[in-house]
Amino acid sequence: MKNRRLALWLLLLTIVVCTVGLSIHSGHNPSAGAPSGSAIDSNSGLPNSGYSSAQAPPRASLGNPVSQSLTKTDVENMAKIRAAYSSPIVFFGKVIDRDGHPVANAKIHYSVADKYFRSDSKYEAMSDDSGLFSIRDVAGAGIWVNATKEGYEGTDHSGASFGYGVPTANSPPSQQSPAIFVLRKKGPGESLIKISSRQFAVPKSGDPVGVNLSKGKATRGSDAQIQVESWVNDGVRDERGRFDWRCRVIVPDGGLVERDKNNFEAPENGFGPSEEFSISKLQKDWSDRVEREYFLKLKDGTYARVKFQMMAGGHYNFFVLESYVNPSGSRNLEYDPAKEIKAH
Amino acid sequence: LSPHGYSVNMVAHSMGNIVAGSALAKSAVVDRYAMLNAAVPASCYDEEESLQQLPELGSLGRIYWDTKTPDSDSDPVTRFLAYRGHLKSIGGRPINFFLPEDSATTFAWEFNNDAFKPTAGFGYSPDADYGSKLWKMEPLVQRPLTDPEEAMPYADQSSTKAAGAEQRTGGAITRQVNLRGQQFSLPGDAEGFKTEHSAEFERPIQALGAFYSTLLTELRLSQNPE
Repeated sequence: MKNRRLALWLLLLTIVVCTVGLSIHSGHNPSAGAPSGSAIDSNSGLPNSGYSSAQAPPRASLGNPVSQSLTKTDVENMAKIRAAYSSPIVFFGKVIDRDGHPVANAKIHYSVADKYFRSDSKYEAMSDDSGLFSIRDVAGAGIWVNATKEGYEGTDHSGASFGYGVPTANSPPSQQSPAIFVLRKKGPGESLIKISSRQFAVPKSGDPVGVNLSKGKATRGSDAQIQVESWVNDGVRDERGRFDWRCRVIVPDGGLVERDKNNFEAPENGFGPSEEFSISKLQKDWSDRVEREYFLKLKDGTYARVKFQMMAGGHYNFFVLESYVNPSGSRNLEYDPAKEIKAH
Repeated sequence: LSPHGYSVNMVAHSMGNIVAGSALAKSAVVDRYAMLNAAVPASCYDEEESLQQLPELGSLGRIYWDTKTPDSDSDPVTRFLAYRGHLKSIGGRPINFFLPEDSATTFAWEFNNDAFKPTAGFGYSPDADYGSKLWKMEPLVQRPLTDPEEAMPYADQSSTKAAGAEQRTGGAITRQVNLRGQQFSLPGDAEGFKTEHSAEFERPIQALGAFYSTLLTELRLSQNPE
């Protein structure tokens, strides 16, 4: 009985405290992390408080949900965001080619993370005769920088991001030790026949599917320049869904050799007639796909480079090809979009 | 649908992956699932210790990744409410389309994780009694949290980067596609989606052929269905 009375008193006390609390805080949601319905400051991406973060928030007034929407916590949170997103950025970089030579007059594209959960601000600069450049007078949580130049191609090291206010990504470089951006100087572009990534269904029973790379089409005739066969036993799977399969890539009356993705000139020799992949469901590194890049020597003596992907099993058993054929007979397989020959 | 030769596939972007992951964790069945720029802690899918970030100094002396999280708590009830391993057993063969420099899932997401988790009114007290380490402050009492779907958004801090920016995410993830890849670049560029969190939807469709072609291939769907 005593306990019940105590519980009733506690309940009453709770109701009184909650009511007083709601009266004091009425007009805002104390649990909300960010205000709703506030105007957005176009520079910071923050809700526009209309006063600096150092000032006291306006007193909430009943019946006016817009002017009373910011709590003290909101204002403090906004100050934290502003602090992280307005860190001064001073950046030093250098653009070089793959031989280490400076690249002058490279275009520097940089975007500054200066708005919280909104798009970055974008700018451009230029490298000097020594390949050097610097970026100042911007502020943000971090910066993304990448270099481009006509006649050059990007590499895995031609762009990167650097943390200033928020330490994700790379540390800011210094004038003594600038960030290095590497471009590849392209060779003279050739007139190539290009096929963008194209899928070709292939039977699981070993029946070959040929592709004429100059036409970009599957063919059953003798004009096939590459041929793929697959044997896929996906009707018998283990408890992890794995199955045995294999596939073979053939260049009829020609050959293929694996390609380093940074090399654009086919070798004179070293070509083999085919490559076969045999994947057992017992393999630790089992996969239902393989990917390779090849140089091809075609039966008419011309050269090509291809990216091949086999996707084995399921309703749709297929391979994907992206290819560049040089019909001139040159081993140079550097692509120039302006000189592209349409597949016919 | 599968017996009739169809497949069921799912694509989710950013925080949509919270919804998608939750559906899969609650036994939704799909053939394949593409995670685009996932704003979900990598530890949800992969419990690997090496994904946990080490402390780093940011501006104004703020240290990131230095807060204890419930991910490695000694209390199994607390760990049940944490991010780590929450989606480690989902099906759908998730494919992580990640962007290492995505400014939303790096700068903004990581700042939010550090500065605003736990959200005001919620907390994690590593030294409290088992079962009451994660809590919400009610008007009169500190209420222990018992529901992961309340703990994760409000009280849990992540100890890892977002999966959408973390190439190393394994566990339930079966494959990675780097959206920084040259093939996804705008003409004359080589940096793929750069820092753009929603390039899939915001760039001109004419410049997105390689991305959507890759998406179809990864989902094992024909580019030209008959």
